[in-house]
Amino acid sequence: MQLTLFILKRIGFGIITLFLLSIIVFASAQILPGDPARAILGPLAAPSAVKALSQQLGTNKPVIDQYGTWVGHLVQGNFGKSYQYQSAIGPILGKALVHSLELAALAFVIVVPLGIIGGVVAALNYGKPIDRIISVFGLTATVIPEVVSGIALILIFGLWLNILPISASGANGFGDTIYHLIMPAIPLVLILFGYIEQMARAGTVEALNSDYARTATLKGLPRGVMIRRHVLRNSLLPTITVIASQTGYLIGGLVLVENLFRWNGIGTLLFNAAKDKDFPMLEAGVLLIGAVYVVATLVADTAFSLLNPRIRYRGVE
Amino acid sequence: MSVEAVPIESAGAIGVGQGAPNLRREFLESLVRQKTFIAGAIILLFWIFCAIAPHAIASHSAYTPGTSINTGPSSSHWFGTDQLGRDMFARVITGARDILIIGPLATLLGTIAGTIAGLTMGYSRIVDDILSRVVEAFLALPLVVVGILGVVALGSSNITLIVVIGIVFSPLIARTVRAAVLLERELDYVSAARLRGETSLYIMFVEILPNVMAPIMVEFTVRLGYAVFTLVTLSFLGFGLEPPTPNWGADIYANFTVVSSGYWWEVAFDAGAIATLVIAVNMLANSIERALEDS
Repeated sequence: MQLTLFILKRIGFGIITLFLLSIIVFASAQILPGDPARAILGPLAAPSAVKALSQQLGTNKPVIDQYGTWVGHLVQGNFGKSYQYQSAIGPILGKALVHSLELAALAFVIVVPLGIIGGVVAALNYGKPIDRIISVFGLTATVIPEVVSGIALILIFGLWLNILPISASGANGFGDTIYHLIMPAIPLVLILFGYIEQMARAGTVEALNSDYARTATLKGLPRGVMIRRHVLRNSLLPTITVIASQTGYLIGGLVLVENLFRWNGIGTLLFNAAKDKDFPMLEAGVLLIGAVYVVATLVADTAFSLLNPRIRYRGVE
Repeated sequence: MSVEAVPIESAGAIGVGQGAPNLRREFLESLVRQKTFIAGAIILLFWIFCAIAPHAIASHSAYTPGTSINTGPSSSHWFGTDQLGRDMFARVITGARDILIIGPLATLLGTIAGTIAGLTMGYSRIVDDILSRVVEAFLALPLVVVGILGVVALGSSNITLIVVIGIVFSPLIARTVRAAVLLERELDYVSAARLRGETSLYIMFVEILPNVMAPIMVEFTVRLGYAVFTLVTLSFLGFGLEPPTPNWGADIYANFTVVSSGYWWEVAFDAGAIATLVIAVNMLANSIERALEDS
């Protein structure tokens, strides 16, 4: 009962967030000076042609009406028509999203075990050199922009050692896709590693110093069993939330990494839409990213409260 | 909940900055005792010097094309030359300028806007409820995406970059300030001021603000690192400054296509410059945070 209420409240907040986001996105496209029809047709087009296109796009109607029409169509799953491709946005966006998910999934598959192992190893060696090495590495890797790590990887593995492809485009089949996506995934892995590692480390340190860990040790449990059964079960909870909440970052990182490695995902799509002033595409893409983030946060919160009953009884903040 | 959440929470817990001069001295002493602070400061000062007087270091011009194109590092061109024959060393050194002007200004704008919003949110419950939702909506988008959206809507210029990055940072800073204000609000000196009949504005800016300066300062340095990160990313994507102005991110983008021909020096040194600047700013942020905890 309480859990249902919790999830319902969360869904409510998610919808409010998305609604506000749609206003922000729509408003920022409206700030642009000039007429979208004029921008598409160029400065030399005849005024009558511009007027006809405005009519067709609906950009001559009041802003509130335009917003209403746009949201109304979105709710029905109609994302509108792209200016640059002259075709429906939905399928293009869907295909790009799948590509991005492949890359993101590979990054997560690499970084989650690495980050958790790193954090736990650091915590078990709290204050020792190995703890400091892991933590300093994590902190440094987290702040380096993907451009820098991407370039370093391209130069080392693509150019000098020549063992990995510089461009991810043209990947074919499952194994080949993974082979092409290893290098693009690593800059994302480096940034995420620090966050997951720090969270896993903090959680494990806290659990190690807890009363129940002390009780387990005092009743004579071997250290390995104590760590497995008592410490890790509790310490990895917050880590799960951190992992899910990184989805937002991940998509931002994808914009850059996909462009650097020529991978046709949602990042490249957004980038091209922004360059070509393809507003319907840009608006739909940005809103989709927001929706992915809201859903990921919702899943994280729900998973967290399922795994940790204490949160449920504390209520929703 | 976003990527940046980790340093903020610990910053919110700092309860120093009561304005006592000996505390301030203790803070500075603990700061200069840290090796990370000294190292970070030296690197940052080096780049500031490059930004102010690039000609004191680089003898070539960063703008004039030369006849020797795509040549590797040599004694006359330490970092080689690019596709137009321009000296890469001069371009890397001069490239510090725009980042070091736009980055701090954008961070300052975000800090001021975020502090005002955070103070109001922490102090008034109604404003808090409304603004918190807006902040959450903003945080649902990655920095880079908001940046792209802003640059597309406003056109790309230095002012746009400052405004866009400032606006993107303000909700994050507002969240930190809000958390700190919520702790302060319960303290006696605030009730005392309220009983004296001071206005809300007076209490917020004269009474509470000086006591939440510590987390704001940490937040400023942390954000500065992210500002450089975001600037580099946006300029790599072509949403920054226009050529021929030397710019690390934009230069990497321009020269990136020839890397497969083996001209590694045209991107490697720019990437290295970005890395040193970002790491230096983060070293400063970490040591300021630690010094505030100590003192």
